[in-house]
Amino acid sequence: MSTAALIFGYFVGGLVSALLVLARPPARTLRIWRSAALALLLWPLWLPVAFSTSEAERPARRPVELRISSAVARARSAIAGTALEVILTDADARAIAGEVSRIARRLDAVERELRECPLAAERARARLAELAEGDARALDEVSELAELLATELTLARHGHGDGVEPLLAELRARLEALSSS
Amino acid sequence: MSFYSQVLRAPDQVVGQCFDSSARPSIVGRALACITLGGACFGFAAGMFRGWEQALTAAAKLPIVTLLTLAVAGPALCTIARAFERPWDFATTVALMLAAGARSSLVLLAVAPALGLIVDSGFGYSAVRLTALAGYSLGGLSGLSFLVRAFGAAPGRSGALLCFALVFGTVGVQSAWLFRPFLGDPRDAEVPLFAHGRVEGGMLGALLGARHER
Repeated sequence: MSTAALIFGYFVGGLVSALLVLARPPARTLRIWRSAALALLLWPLWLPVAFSTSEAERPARRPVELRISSAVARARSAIAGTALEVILTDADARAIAGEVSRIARRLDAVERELRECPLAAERARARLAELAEGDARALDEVSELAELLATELTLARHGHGDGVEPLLAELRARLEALSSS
Repeated sequence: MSFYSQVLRAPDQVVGQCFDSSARPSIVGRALACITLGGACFGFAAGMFRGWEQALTAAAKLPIVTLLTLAVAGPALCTIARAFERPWDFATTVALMLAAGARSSLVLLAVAPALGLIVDSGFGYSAVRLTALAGYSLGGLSGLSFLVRAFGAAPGRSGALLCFALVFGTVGVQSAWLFRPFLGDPRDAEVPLFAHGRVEGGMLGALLGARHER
């Protein structure tokens, strides 16, 4: 196969990938056009990521998600390279991120439902609003606990963190409750 | 902390984010930008050995070589990870691999001015080639250290890394061979876009003795 044919084949693959990216979501936002451009040029690397989950099309992460992930990252980096590392492992951090992301996604869906169905029955709207409020409150509580945990672990690194265990237990219990909700 | 600082100073956090599907597109986008920019600057500095034209050519070719290598080695990394009991999905594997590539490209970006200085100081072809190789190796080690973290402490890490290094090294050398020259051989009066009399079959072909000079 000649080099020209190879390049032509590559860009045909890119064109098909870009069209697939554009055809997938209901609305073509700037983000989707950018994703299509990347798929056209770098489809072997970009396509798996663009198609990995519907998360890619989410407008943005909620501020509370960012607060939680930043607090967990801060907690992990506070204990990195110390004996305390086993308290909050990578797997724990991933589990927290996964659970928080699941709840945030559910909250997105409920809020969208509330926005897009203004004529739904009063009882149904009240039920949705209650669910949204519960999820938002739960995320705020997890965020607060994660931030406290990050501070305690920073103190623990310097030999002053007495509240790590109860905080961690509370955070785990809260996440367990969320995962069963 | 921005992605660029995080991938250098807190790679564990970036590894964690690669498993978060909502953070992944942003990580991959930034990693691609790092790889393009870092490779282009390093290529530019190396190509300056033979003037502006070669500098621009090498700046365009080096990121392509890196991205090509990553694209070809991605499926292998996913398979190797699974074989060594790291059940990463393909998107996570690509994100981890590109983040490692970003880390190594940021090192290349940092090394590029030093390489440019060596070139500008009038050192010979061999010295510049060795310096470029040392800079690239430094970047490679930095990327490898990211993958060490990604594989975690569970058993099988060394085996997985060894297998991937073998695949990545072979593909990387072959890609670089196909896109040479980057510095420009001093024996060439005018540096060609691609090497004259290329040995068909690339580096592996040359090693195996399949020489079909054009």
